[in-house]
Parts: sequence; C-alpha cells; structure tokens
Amino acid sequence: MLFSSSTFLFWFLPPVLGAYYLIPRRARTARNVLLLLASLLFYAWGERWFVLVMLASIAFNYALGLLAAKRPKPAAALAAAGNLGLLFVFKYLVFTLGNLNRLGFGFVIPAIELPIGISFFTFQALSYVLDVARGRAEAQKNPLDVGLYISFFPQLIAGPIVKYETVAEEIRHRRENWGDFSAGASRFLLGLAKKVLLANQLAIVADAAFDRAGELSAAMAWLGSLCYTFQIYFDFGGYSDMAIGLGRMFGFHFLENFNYPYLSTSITEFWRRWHISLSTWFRDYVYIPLGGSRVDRRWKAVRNLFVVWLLTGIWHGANWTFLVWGLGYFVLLALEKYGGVGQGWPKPLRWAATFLVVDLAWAVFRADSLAAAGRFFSDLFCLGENASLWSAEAGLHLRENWVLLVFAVLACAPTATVLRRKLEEKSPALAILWDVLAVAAAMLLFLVSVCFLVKGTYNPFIYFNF
Amino acid sequence: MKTKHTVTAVLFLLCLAAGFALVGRGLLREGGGSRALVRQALQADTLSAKAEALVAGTEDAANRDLNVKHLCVQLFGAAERLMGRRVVRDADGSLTVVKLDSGALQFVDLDGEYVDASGPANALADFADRLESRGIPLLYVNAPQKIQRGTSPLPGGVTEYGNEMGDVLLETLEGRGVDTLDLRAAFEATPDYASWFFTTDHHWKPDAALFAYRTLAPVLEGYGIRTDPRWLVKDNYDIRVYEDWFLGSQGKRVGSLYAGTDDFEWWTPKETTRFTLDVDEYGIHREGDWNETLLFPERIEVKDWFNGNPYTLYSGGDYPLAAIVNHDDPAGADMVLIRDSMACVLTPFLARSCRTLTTIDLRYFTGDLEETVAALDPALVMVLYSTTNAKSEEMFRFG
Repeated sequence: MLFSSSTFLFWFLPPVLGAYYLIPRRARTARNVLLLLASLLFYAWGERWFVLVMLASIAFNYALGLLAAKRPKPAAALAAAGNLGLLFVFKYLVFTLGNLNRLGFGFVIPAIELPIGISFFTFQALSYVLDVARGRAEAQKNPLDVGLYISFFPQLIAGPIVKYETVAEEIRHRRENWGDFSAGASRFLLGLAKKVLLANQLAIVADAAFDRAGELSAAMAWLGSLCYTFQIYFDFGGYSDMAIGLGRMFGFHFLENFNYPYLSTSITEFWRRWHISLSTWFRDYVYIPLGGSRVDRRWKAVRNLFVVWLLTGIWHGANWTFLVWGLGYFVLLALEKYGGVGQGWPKPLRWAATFLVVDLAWAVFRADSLAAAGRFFSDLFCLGENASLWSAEAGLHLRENWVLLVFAVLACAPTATVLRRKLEEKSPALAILWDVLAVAAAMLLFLVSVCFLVKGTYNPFIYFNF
Repeated sequence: MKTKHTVTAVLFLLCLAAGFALVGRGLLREGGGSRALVRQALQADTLSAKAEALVAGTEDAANRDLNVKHLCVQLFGAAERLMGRRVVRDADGSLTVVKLDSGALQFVDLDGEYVDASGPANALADFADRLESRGIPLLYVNAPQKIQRGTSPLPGGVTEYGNEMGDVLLETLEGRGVDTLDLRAAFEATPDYASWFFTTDHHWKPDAALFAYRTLAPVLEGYGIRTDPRWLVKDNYDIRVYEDWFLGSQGKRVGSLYAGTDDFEWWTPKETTRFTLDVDEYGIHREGDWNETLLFPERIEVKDWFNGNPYTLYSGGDYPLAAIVNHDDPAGADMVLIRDSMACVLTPFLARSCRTLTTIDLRYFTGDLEETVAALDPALVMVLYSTTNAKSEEMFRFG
C-alpha cells in the first residue's frame, strides 16, 4: 500500500488511528498488537505472499535476539548470515547467476520476485539482533514487540531504517501526546505534498529523458537529470517525512533521514545529510566495527571506506549501475578526505561542484544499465552522432514545469523556516500571520494532493525497489 | 508553532474523517464505487481471487467515491491552470489534454507516432470496389479536425499527425479511384477556423454542421440527392442558446476551471418536418418532427457538465445502425452514412435531403456490412470521418 494513495489515506489510516486511540493508553500490549496487525495488513495488501517471508524474518530474529542476550557472537553471526542470505536470495541471486552465466557457467536462473522493502526490514531485523548482541538494548521477551519493530508500517517499506536501540524503549513505554500527534500530522502533510506534487510531477520529465537516452538534446538531458535529482529527493524525502510524521502520530520518534542534502558544499557533507539512517547503519554496523578511520595505516582506512561504499552501492539494487554509483562515491569521498579536493575553494564553487557531481551520480543511478548511462552522458555533453544543444521537447518540459522547478528549488532549503524567523524578528504579528497562511497552505496542498491522486496521475515510489 | 500544528492536525483529521465517510458511503450506497467493487470481487471463484480483485480495485473505487461532484477534477484543473500548464497529462496517455493557442482543448497522445494511413484507405477502397460492382457509389468525406492544416496551434514540442495522416488517406483513396470530398479546404477558407469547434470538445458546432451541409449539398446533387436551398440558410432555423451548458470530452478531464465551458445551441428548422427514427438494437423508435425524432432534448434538460453530454442532443449519440425515414420526401433518394461522432450534428441536416438515411457506426456495428448496404440499395454510401480517425483500424473495418 502506498502512503500516497486514497486507499491508505481514507480506508486504512482513519480506522487504524481511531481504533488505536480508542484503546486505553495503559493497554500498551493491545495498542501494539493493533499496530502489528495493521502493519501486516499494510504489507500484505501489496505483497500477499511475501508477508510470510516477513513473518519468518520476525520469528527468526526474535529467536536470535534471545540467543544474543546469552551468546552474542554466534547470534550476531547467525543473524548476519540469515538476514543477508535472505536478502541475497531475493535481491541478488538472479543478478549473480546471470553474470556468472556470462562468464560461461550454465546456471538455471530462477524467477524470483523482489519483496517490496526487503532491504529495509532486513536491515532493521539485523539491527535488532546486533544491538542486543552489542549490549545496546535488551532482548524482547514478547515476539509481538519484535514483530512490531520490524514491520511497523510507517517505516516498513521505504525507511527510514530505524535502529533498534533508538526505539527499543518506545515500543513498550512510549507516551503518545497531542503535541507529537499534531506535529506528526503536519509533517505527514508536508511529505505527502512533496511526494505527490513535486516528485510525481518531475518524474514525468525525468522518465521522458531517461527512457530515450541517446536521442536527447543536451538541454533535455540536463533538464531530465535535474528533474530526477529533485524527484528522488522529494520522493524519498517526502516518504521519510510521512514515515516520521506517522511514527510521531503513534508516539514513536524516528531519527531524521534527510537534512537539506542539496545545500551541501562537499560530498562528505552530502552523505551526512542524505539518507542518514542508511549511512548511520553502515557506520555503526560495518565501518566502525572494521576500525573506521581510526586505524594504524591509511590503506586500512581507505579499505574500510571502500567496503562501506561497495555495500552501499549493492544495497540499492542488483545492477552494475548501483555498484558504479557506490564506488564513484568512494572515489569522491577518498579524494576529499585524503586528497584535499575542494579545500580552499570558495563556498559557492564548492556548493556548485557538489551539486553537479551529485546530479551526475544520480544519472548513473537512474540509468537502466551502464550502457544506457553512457548514452545519457553522451547526450549531456553533446557527444553523440546527432547531438544537439536544444530541442523543442526541452522547451516544452521547461515551460510546463518551471513553476514546479521554482518550488522544488525553494523546498530544497529551509526557506519557510528562515522566512518565518525573519518575520518574527520584525514583528510577532507577522509571524502569526505567517502561521495562519502556513496552515491554509498545508491544507490546500493536502487537498490538491488528494485531487492529483484521485485524478490518477503518475505515482511511482522509487525507494520501494530497494 | 504548537497552535499551528494543532489547527493543521485538527483540519487534517477532519479531512480524513470526511474522506472515510465518503468511501464508507460508497460502500453502503447503491451505485457507490466501493459497493460495486465488493459486489464484483465477491463474484470471483476463489477466496484468493476475491482478495486479489478487492486489492486491485480499491484505489479506483475509493477515487470514484471521493470525487464528489467532480470537485477533485475541478481542483486538479485549477491547479494545472495556475501552474500555467498547457499539457495536462492523464493516466491514460491517449487522453492527455492539450490547450491550443486559441485556448481550446484537444486530446493529443504525446507518445503517438505517425501512422501510415494507406492501410485503412485501401480497406475502404476495396469496399468501394465491391459496392461499385453492385452499382452502389461511395463517397468519402473528410471532416476537418480541430487542429487546422498548415498551422501550429499546439505548444512547441507537442506533435500531432492527424492532418498528415488524413492527406495520405485521401491521396490513397483518390489513387484508387474513390470519390472524395475534403471539407477541410472549405473550412480553412473561412476567417475563423477555430470558432467552428467547441472549446472543451473536439466536435464541431451545429453552425459548422450547417456549413458542411452547405458544402456537401452540390456534391450530393451529383448522386441524385437533392437539397432545398432554403435548408442551407441559417436564418431558416430557430436557435436556442444554452449558456455555459456544455463541458466536452476534453473539458471533463480537466474541469471547467481549466478552460471554461461551452455554450450549446439547439437548432430547429422553422418549417415543419416529419421523421421516423429506429434503432432496433437499442429498442429505440421515435416519430414526429425534427425535435421529437432526430433530436434528443432530454440530453440537455439539466445542466450537468460531467455526467451529461449535450452534444448527443443531435442524433442521440453513436448507434450501430439507425434508420431515419423522412416522410416529407417520399420520392427522395436513399443514403447510407457510415460515420463517426462528427456526424451526430450533421445527420439531422442530411436527413432532410433523403427519403431514408441509414447511419452505421463501425465501432458498434457487428453485422455484415456489405450485405446490409446491398440490401438497402442506396443511391449513395457516404463515409464521413474526422481527419483524426484516418489511422483508426476500428473505423476502417470494411473487410
């Protein structure tokens, strides 16, 4: 089920919210059971049979959690083997066999469908056992609570990847309150608008460009890559806003997943601001255990960085494009960290260079294959046989979407927050007026978002695939 | 900040509750989207199939129940207009609405490519040959489309090949010796081409139909189909104008706030007329004057932009086979009109020139076309299609 769907908004969410808050707060178990059942329904709605895979994962990790409390190392090893094995079978086996066959092997390639969000719930499940094994949290005695942690619908299929230690306490002892609920609702509305009104609309331009890589004018290619850069941010960032908002509506506090990444002035900073939950996961469970940067030899630090970015690339999907994308970031981060690239550059130049590199990296990420990425890059830099700088198609998409692009640029920065602060400095009355307008805008955006959903416009969700 | 969040959350909860009430109403109410879905799902054989049908159809059903009085489409269109968009995409690519330079709307399939219309043309030419062998002449009439030949009213970057495909169709037909009449030339010679068409619909207006009738009359004369010159004069018709009454096919996709609505005209000849109309397949039998027979006044009784279709005031819409008898001209000629929806508004005019006029719409007609036409033994078979249909395999099923 998609958050940005009428089914979720008007069939699923109202009864779940209503039933949840009808159960007395002291009946914590009953509230958790309700959320667990709702989460299983939420997942089964789109992935009827794969819900069994998730249930198996819950049972497996619950048992390993209990084991980890007594014998941490074997439990951690088993958890890693089991969870990553599951991920490998569903996500990478076909890709691996396909590539082996290219080398001359003759494996029969099975038809395996990818369960939605498997990368997210597998990493969460692994986080549970590893946190217990590391003594960061206690093992849950109640399997339903483990089930709720792994399957909780707000972050189930596209994150953020919630580390167990950050919510362990809240599973049994959270205190729902109106302040959290109302802030969560506002956050959800913001995320929905980002997703429906920005990401979905800009996706049309991005798809028009990437689907015809090799036949584009340079202007269309650049416009397409820019739109994809915005699309992926507002798609994933919007989803994270919705997830964090929904979590708060039920009393959970998830850590932030994005912090205005496109304002970054270095690649290192970008990855501190982009998909923070994934970076943190790899930092805590891979990079630091490997020694991180506090190792006696530089090559070891570079190796650790390499491993993390290799895994980051692979985590995103079974395609060489993701591998190249991840390793590209390894090179860029190594150049920044150990080569001093960017140091001493003026801030605007550092921002522009970072944005450009990120934009180009997304082009590799978005391409269907490395060959398609190559064709797209030849369009970008006018290297193809029929290369052209401008096309009517680029003009059309620019004219049709310039308003959205302006809003997208403004939404990449904390524009509203800054404006409100400035108004408050001038006059508190202006700040109040701003708040009134903000409420009206939020509701208008919600209504327009619903209208776009009802009208049945384009509604993909990029991060479902990961 | 807390107050802001509080007000926002309260309004959000109210919206959720309202939405839940609407979809719930759709489940309880006869005719509701959700109720129809559940009924349909329950008809599936297995429990698994029932669940699958329910999951697959819930979003559409909920959207149907939520779109109360088409407010969602209206707000959607208003948002598109505010963003200055001239290309309003649809989940179904062929229903993408484009605003022309004139402000009028047109469907354009952005992924649509040039299609060689010689295939459909040859199918029609073969049919004409077979009819010729039975002594029945055939005339192909190419009705103009909203996008004028030789102009570019579309936003830059949007392409449409209707006229080019129409040209190929006509050239092929002429090459095969089929009689043709291209109405585009006559319309292009008028000062305001765009004004012949509705703003929110791709069809031409009654005024345009009369103009087409006037252009056709001398050609029909050559086939023995006579037209009284008085019938070709606008002044000989009473015209009642229904203001802001019509939201056409394109308008319905984007709402009235995107490009407005159209006025609709009800034309009635000043002279008395007597007709009979029969559509056997639909059990329709009408007799009386022009208004009672050829026009369907019930189609414009109520202003209903989204559910009504005032255009079908004329001829009632598209029927597989409709037989019209003109009791004022018992000595006149018989004609068969193979047509698309452009003919709706033209048919009542044409009926005045014939003793019998039989209309056939190949999208719905399932009988043996050649035998049906042969049995009618008309003075002329006229095929009248809009230029936009030149590529349509379905409309050219003459085999």
